Parts: sequence; structure tokens; C-alpha cells
Amino acid sequence: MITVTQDPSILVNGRRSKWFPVHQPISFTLQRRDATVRQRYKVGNEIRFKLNQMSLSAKAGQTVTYVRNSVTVDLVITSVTGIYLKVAFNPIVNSGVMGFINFTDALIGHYIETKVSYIDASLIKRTIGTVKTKTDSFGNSKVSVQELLKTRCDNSNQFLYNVRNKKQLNEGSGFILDTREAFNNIVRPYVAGNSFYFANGSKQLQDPNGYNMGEFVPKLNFSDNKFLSVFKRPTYFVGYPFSLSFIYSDLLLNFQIQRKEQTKDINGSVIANTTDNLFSAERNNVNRLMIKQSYLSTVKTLDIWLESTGVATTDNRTGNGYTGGFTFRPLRTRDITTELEITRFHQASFGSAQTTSTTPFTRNTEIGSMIKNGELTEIVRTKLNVSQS
Amino acid sequence: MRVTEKKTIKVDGSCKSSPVYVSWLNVYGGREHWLFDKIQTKSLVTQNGGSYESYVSNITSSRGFRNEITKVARPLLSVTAMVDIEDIEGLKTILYSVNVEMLVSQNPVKWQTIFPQVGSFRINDTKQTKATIEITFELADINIQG
Repeated sequence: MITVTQDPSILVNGRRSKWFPVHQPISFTLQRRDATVRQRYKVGNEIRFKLNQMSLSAKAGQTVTYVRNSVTVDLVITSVTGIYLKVAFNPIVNSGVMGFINFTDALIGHYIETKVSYIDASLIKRTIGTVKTKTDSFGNSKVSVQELLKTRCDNSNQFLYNVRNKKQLNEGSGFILDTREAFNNIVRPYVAGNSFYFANGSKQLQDPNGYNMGEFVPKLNFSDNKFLSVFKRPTYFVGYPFSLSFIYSDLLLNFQIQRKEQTKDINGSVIANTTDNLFSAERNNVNRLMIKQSYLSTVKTLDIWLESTGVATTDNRTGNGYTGGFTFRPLRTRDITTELEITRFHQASFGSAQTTSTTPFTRNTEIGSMIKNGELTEIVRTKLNVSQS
Repeated sequence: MRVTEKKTIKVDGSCKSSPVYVSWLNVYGGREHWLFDKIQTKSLVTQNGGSYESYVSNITSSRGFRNEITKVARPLLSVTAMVDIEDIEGLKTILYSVNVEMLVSQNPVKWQTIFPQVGSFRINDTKQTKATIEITFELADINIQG
């Protein structure tokens, strides 16, 4: 089994920041655990392990690696029975927590393959590349993914300055690590990992958050998260395209975020307050935020900030962004008709008896006929996440 | 409840002479914007791309021995701006930005990549509350035969 034991996310103001500057190391530690030790006891001159599972190719004479916290010992198997493993007595092994065992000899040519994927504009997970690594004596291996993610960045200005807020895939977006292991010429299936995020930036020496964009990640419990601007007070030149960059973070899931503006005259007296809802579908990316514009000529400065209404709203577009929720894609009318066609094809070719999983097909057939008859109401559409594309 | 800092934006609606609008990528990965105006100097740096001498069989009718292979022509644009002292820290970052673009069309918005000359940042008269800064940009090379 492969688990991610260390990722570069950190807690900032009590909230987990999973946003990293892509021009600096983004390293994950993966751990290989072939079998966990359930029981361990001394029998005569031997130590007997009871494991959760046993490798089929494990046999006496092979070396296994026993790992417990900071201890790693190579042991020679004296006998294998079911899920029981015997080795010669070793006082270092017979104390402390149970730990785990890696079948170093039995699993020939073991390596971990990490697949790095990004999320494209239509929220579909696409592969960038894979990294193959071997594990050390503790079963650990380090994977750095920044070079792969950098290929998704483009330094040029792609914003068209025509919408309140818009995700900029080239300035920062999400990525997912899937892992699998291979040994004895067997490649096991990928296990989907968590979602993380990158921004096209870099941090400076002695930054308190290190290689993490923490202070720029808006969090609901902290009100001074920064915009991605180096100016203390940026200037808006009337009539020219202007935007502020910010991280529309995964931590704002299920909350309606609003753009608040307070315009002021030359004496600092308030002229007007405005509130506009942000488009939540742009979340989980670096965004551009436009200002409202068309101000009175008396407006000399304006304060701008983002605010949450504090009321949870159901946002069905993406998952929580941490456990691969990104892979969710709204079902489109096109998909339904395709499946419907498949059903018809199956029925025509094999007869209805061959359609083994009838339930989803029947459901889709119903939806399909509803679309055809124009009966698909807004409520049904919302319930089924069907968008009219 | 507020989820970001309150960012104050200065609104500059004054008339500008010879405006040059620039956007650049900052080290955080965000995009900055600035309008340069006032003095705008255009210059051109050219280089020889080498030449060759051709064989002349009849000197009476020859047009000359030397022929150019190519040339390099790089237009330069020096811009200035009268800025508040607090803006200088932000404007300085344009010099080490990896992508600087100049606005060439408003509708639709179109940009052209430009390059600030290394070390060409000058701050004049910092005792005042405002200062004049000057930056020279290298524009796209002119495409020449050869």
C-alpha cells in the first residue's frame, strides 16, 4: 500500500493551505507499507509476527525490512505460515510500536509511480506526466512535481477584462497526485490522491510560510488574506484595463463570496458602497478580479475587499477539492444521449436481456425521452446536474 | 465576514499625454498595471549582421564590393511617470518581471511583449512626495531580410 505521509501543505491561521509557488520545490513523501504488524512476540530464539496480509511469493531465506518509527532492520525469514512470519530473535525488533514489514526480496523490482494531473477549463482531470521512484530502507520515497506543473504555467496576460472574476488556468490551478506500485511484473491500479494547487509565483528568503502561498489564501476565519499585488495602493487609470489577482481558494467552498467596494472622495468621505456576487464556478484557481468602474468623477480612492455572506450555500459544481473532488463533472445532455444510444445499441444487438445493469440505463432512457419531449423541467435539471450545453 | 484585506485603489482620471499602458507579472504570480505618460522618447538601436565582398569582374559597371547579410534593429521606448513615493516599491518590480506587456489595442484587449532594459530604473528627486521615474523598454525587433 502506498500512502502520502508528507505533503507541503501547512496550517495558516488554523486552516490548511494547499497552495504552492510552482517555481520552488513541491515535494511529497510517499511510504510503501507491504504489511502491517498486528502482533509480535518472542518464541524461543525467534520472533513471530502476525501480519495483516502475506505476500504470496514470501518464503524462508528471503530478507524483509521491518520499519518502526525511526528504526529499520533487515531480517531473514526463517518460516512463513499463513499470515505468520518467523525471524531470528533480534532485541531491537521486539520493543516499541508494532510497525510494518516490506517484502524487500519477495517483491522484485518494486517501484512507485506517481501520476500528476491538472484540471482543465471544463473541470476534467488530465495527465501531465508520471514520476517513477524507488523507496529507501524506511519505505519512503520523495517526489517533486514542480517541474511537471510548470509546464501548465504561461507568463503572458490571458485575461480579457470583460468579466467580474475569471479563473486564469495559466496563473494557478489545481493538481492531483495518483499513486500506484509495481513489482514482480505486475502494475497495480492507480489510487486517486488529494487535490493541491499551484500559483505561478515564488517566495522570498525567510518567508514565515516557506514554500507555501498561505498568506494569500482566503480563509473564512481570517480577514486579512492578501491580494497578489506588490503595490501598497495600486492605481486604477480610468479607461484602461485593470484587475487585481487573488487566489479563489478551495477553503471558500459552499460560501457565496461577494466583491465589496467603498468609494471615497478626496477628503476620504464615503460616496457609495456596492456589493456584487463572485462567480463561484471560478473557484480553485488564481482569479482576476475587476473593479466595478464607471465611478463619479469625485471618486479619488476606493477600498475593495472580498466578503462571505456567512451563509452556507450548496455548490454542486465541484467537491471539497481535497479528496479528488475535482474529478466530478456535471452530466451534460450530450452524455445522456450517448448513453441512450449505447443502450439502444445493446438492445438491438443482444436483446434487452443482455443489458445487465438495467437500472441506470432505464433511468437515462427516461431522461432521454424527457429531453426529446421537452419535459425536462428546471427542478429535474438541478437534481440531476444536467446542464443545457 | 471579510475574507481578504481591504485594498485601497487610487483612481487616476487625469488626462495623460503620450500614454503607454503596461502590465507585468509580479513574483507572487499576480498581474500589475501602470500607465506611463509625459516624456516618451523613441530611439532605435541597430547592429550589423555582417557583410561580404563579392567578386567584381567588370569594375566599370559594378555597383560596389560590399553587400550586407542582415541587420538587427531594436526600437527603444523611454517612458516616464510622476509617481507617489509609495508607488516606487511596486513599480521597481517591473525591472525583474519575467513578462512585461504593452497595451496595443483596447477592444479587444491586446498586448505585445516588451523588455525593460537592465538597470534602467531611475528615481529623480526623492525628497519630494512625488518622484519622476524613467524606464526604457526594448520593443519587438523589426523583421529584416537575411
